[in-house]
Amino acid sequence: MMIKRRVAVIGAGMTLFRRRLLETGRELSYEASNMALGSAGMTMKDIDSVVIGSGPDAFDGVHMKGEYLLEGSGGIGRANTRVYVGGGTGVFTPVGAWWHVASGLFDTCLAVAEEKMSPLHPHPQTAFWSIFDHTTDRPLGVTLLWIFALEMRRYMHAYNVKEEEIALVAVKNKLNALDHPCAQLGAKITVEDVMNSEKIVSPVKRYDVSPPSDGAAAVILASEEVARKYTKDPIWVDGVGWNVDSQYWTNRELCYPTYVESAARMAYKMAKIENPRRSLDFAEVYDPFDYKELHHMEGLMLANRGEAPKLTREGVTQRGGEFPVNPSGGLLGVGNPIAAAGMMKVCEVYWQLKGEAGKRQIKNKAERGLAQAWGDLLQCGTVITMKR
Amino acid sequence: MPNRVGIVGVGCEGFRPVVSDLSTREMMFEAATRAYADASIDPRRDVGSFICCTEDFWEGWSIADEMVPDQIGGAGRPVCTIPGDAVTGLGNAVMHILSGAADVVALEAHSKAADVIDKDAVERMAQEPSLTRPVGAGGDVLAALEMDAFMRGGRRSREQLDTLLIGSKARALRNPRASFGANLSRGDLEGSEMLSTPLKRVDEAPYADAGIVLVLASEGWIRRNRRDAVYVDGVAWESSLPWFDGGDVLTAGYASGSYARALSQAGLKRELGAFDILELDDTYSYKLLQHVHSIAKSRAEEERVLSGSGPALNPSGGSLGVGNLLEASAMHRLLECVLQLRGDAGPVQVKGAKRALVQSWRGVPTATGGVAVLSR
Repeated sequence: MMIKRRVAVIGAGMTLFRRRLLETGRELSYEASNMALGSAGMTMKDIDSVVIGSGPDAFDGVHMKGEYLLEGSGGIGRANTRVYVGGGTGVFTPVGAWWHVASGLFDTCLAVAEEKMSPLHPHPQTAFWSIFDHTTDRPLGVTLLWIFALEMRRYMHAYNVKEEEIALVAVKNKLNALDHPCAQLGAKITVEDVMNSEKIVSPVKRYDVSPPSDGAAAVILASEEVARKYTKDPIWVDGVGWNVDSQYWTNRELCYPTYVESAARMAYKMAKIENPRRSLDFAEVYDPFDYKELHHMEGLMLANRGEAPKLTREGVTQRGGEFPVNPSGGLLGVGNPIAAAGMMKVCEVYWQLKGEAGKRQIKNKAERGLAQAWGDLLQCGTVITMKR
Repeated sequence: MPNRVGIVGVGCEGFRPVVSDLSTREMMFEAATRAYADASIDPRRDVGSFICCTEDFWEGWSIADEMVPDQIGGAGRPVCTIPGDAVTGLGNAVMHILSGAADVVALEAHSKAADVIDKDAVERMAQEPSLTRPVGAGGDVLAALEMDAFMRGGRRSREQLDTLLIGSKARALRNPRASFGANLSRGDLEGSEMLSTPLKRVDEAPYADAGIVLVLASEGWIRRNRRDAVYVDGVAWESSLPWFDGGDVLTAGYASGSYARALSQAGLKRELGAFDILELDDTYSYKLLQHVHSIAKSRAEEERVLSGSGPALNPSGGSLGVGNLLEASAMHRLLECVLQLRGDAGPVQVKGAKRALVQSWRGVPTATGGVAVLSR
């Protein structure tokens, strides 16, 4: 793969992540976009394309949600694209912005991801009733939580992992989130708290799961020539990857996310990364459930298969550890407005590499980081690597 | 455009008011199989990226992206959905190639409108929920209001519309992909049901089902593999402010803006005479007039095109003749132009066609559309 043009991230912004924010989706998009523009020292006049990311239209109850979000995202009067790979959309949105700039058709791109889950009643989960095949799955009355429970159980069985080991991820991420000013569920909890929390679908418990949220996040991407006009130290996008497996999740080995590995391999090849654990300094790994952080670390080849619980137990993935994972607090702590949550991870990688992460700044000087998201029906991986 | 991208394969299925014997996925499979055969490629080996243009609500799925990969050969590969029209999809496919992310891209769009029980309800859900939707105006009402303002402000007559309609429907009779061809008289048009003044039933493209796939490749790949291609010389897409939010009713800003950028990429001057074929959006009859007005450099050029003395205007019969294919409407226009430029358009072939212009619109309530310049 020969990449024809260097692309940099030069600004980032995000809103509070909360349940039932009063702002509309457009207003949330505006707020995040405005912050990203401000951090880059730009206005919309400097932007020539917009990429919008958002999850199911059912959340907002708006058909063609990308069109609806245009006015809050600066999309009027310029080229705009909505990109969509379910829950993987948050990291895929800056990937979309990357190809806008890398192609040479545009010099700048505002990538904004929004999710307003709270309008959907009785619960945002109901949007997921219709993600299942209408003939083979829906008649079973299956919900998203059920299939996560199946996947978690399969992962635990395949690698002999205990629930308590998985709970350590929730403890770590919620603690990290206490230092994030936008976080919804930062907390100091213990493994016992997780184990004693409400059982939802065995083995998934309340504290294993990230909360539904409303929110938006945005980044500005620019060509090298433009980036150097605005900053002395741009953060370069050096690898992108995405991959979507078959919809037939029942036919997959659930203990390992092959699609995440394939997306990572695409990004690593572009970034010329042969040993990700050595070449990367930290990672923002998609963690809508605590076991997913472990699952995805292995898919990203940051740990061998079945090894992620051990690394977590040994403190390697702590913010002060040898290889920090989710120093932001992740979805478990910061919140999970689906597409915006993935973009939050990209913002975090940017802020960490810029040295602007404040209390969340990891101790070792970070030169290169990764953000990853996952989505569709247990089938999609999206990956971006960035470096100073 | 810095490095050229070409269309090396096309395939389609359906193009009927109701495709009852195939599911959406089966229709996509058939179209993809034909496109890959046309391009002489193996999708599992040769395609670096797969893009589908669709929207959740039209599919009846949350996260319709899930069901895209299997039937187009994309499982376990880079696949994504661009919830936009096919010109936007084309632009993103071109960018995948120009960025170096992929050498060959499969672009798919489809309509299974017949499966949607209440299409008007879906369209209403596209309206802004706090201020616009509560007014209770359906898509046809919003279109009729714009039509009225455009016809009055642009000094257009019902007779002009009828002339265009009669021509489109007659051309569609010769197009094997058109379901709504007809020999109409002005009397027939007068008798058409009034939907919302001044919009009549006949002014609106009826819905149809189809699946279409294009295969795009870099110029380097095309040369290495000695393939024939129709080249994408320019592609641009844009959104302007919808008229009910204060946008211009006379000029479709998305069309004029996209046209200017696509021409710039293609290195062309603003001159519709540079094209042999125009396939312009006519989801509603008045939109065809509005779109010609928006891209013509002068009233004289506009009149030339409308009178038939300029490039061939919608030789396929347009959406009025072929049908409204949702996000695949733009794909049908691209398909028609590729076939025309390859000399494969059969009964609707425009002799000696070398360059074509495609223009799209996403429909009510949007002011989003794009333009592609194709040549051979």
